[in-house]
Amino acid sequence: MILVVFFVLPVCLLAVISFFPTSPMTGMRTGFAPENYRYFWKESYFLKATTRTFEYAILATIFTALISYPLSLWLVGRSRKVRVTVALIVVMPIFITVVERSLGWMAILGTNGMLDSILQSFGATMPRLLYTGTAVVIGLTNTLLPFMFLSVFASVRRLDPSIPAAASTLGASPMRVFWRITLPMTSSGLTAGTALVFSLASSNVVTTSLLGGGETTTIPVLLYEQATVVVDYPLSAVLAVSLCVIIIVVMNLILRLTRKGGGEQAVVVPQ
Amino acid sequence: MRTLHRTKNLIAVVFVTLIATFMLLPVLVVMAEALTSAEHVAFPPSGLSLKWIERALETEIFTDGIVLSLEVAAGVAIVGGIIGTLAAYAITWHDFRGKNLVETLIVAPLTLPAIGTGIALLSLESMLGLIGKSWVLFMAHLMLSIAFVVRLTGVGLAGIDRNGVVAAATLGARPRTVFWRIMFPQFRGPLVVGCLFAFIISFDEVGISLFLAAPASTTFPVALYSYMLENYDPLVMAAGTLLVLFSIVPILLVQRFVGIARALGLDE
Repeated sequence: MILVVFFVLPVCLLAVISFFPTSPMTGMRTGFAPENYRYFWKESYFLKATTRTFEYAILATIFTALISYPLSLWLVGRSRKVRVTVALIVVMPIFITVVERSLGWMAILGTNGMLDSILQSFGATMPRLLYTGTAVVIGLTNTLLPFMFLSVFASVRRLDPSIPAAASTLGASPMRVFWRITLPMTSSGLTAGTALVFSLASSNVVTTSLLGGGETTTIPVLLYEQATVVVDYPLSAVLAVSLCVIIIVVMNLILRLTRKGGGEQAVVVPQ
Repeated sequence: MRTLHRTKNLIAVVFVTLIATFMLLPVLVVMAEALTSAEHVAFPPSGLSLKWIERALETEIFTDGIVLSLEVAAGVAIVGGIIGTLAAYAITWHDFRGKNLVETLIVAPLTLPAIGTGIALLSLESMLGLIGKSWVLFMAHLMLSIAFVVRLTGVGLAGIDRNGVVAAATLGARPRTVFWRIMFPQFRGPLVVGCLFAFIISFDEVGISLFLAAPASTTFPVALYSYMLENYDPLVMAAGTLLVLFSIVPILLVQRFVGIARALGLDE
């Protein structure tokens, strides 16, 4: 089947290649060179890029969650028209490629860009934003918000509004209702969104390389350079394997964390 | 109490407006800047003209990219639709050995970060001397899209009343007639949406395409990305606008067939 040839085979190959010695002519040759991995872990340059990668990913995940959750809670109480319209505005940009949206942020955040011009007309000066980590986090939050929102909104909408209502009738304070009922009952969407956004953010090349500069290099960006400019396949394979392993482990941890907590099963709804 | 309620409402409205602006602004800014008649990107854009759009349509790297992207996306939609339907049919209507494995395999490409798949395919290409072949790109897009077709069509297929199929067969309809006259009309809607999603996914894909880009295999978004790394001018904005326009067509089609909100599960 196609999937085996174009997915399973290349991925297995990737793990093998990551052990190949580099060859300056063709990018690699066959052999066994575990020092590739040692190189990766010893070079502080890569370790710094790794921490930066996950720093941006974690920030983007937190921001998307902080936007999606209150928005979803507010939306479920609205009329169908408002709900669908706002939800569509948030989700539709998913269909417009990240390249175009990053371009938009360049036009907004850059020197003489939209924000700069508006601030200038008020006589204020804007701090340099484009090509900094701030721009990267803004861009990632923007491009990944639809993914977080889709899964959070789905679980918030499934919550039966009579349950929190019953809790407050029985005398629970709004805070208590939120922490004990609403949040635990909708945590499945939140964790699914977190896993997805974290994975997409920590493997992002386009937004990070366009909105970030030299000092914001992340592992995916380095990997892309190694593969296409330097043509060092073994090193890019090492980067890819290391990154993917970390991402998959973190995703599974996040997903398992809530399953253990009981999630939706914690509340027994009397029939 | 009433003022408190009103303040709460006001905060909510401001919050939602801010989010909507945050999501729409980057898209709209590009379109506004593309229509400038000036030679440089500046805000607010001065003048109004289509000259940059025209120039973008005359720039070979973009037009080549548009043609390739449309070809690949259309191919992915058609082939993905066929393979996806067959797979969905096998999964929803039959039990067979290794069914779980097949299901896992279908979603697997979506769980591995695109950079992993991208570099894996690139090194495979280099080993086999296939660098820059656009059919590898096509296959990569195909395997990303199939999961969506299978899921959407699967829901449609699962909803078919099996008694109707059995009845038609008992009454003497040939298998082909049963398929086209009884089954197909019942899952046509989800299938069309699945194909359109496949088209959009392929057209917008950059993660893997970046790695597979060579002169003959540079898709439109990748061409724009490479151009953007070196240039920042109204031509980029015009190309970005074209990209949005091309993405809007399939979305409008989805809207026509089932309603985009329903297709995304945002509406009941």
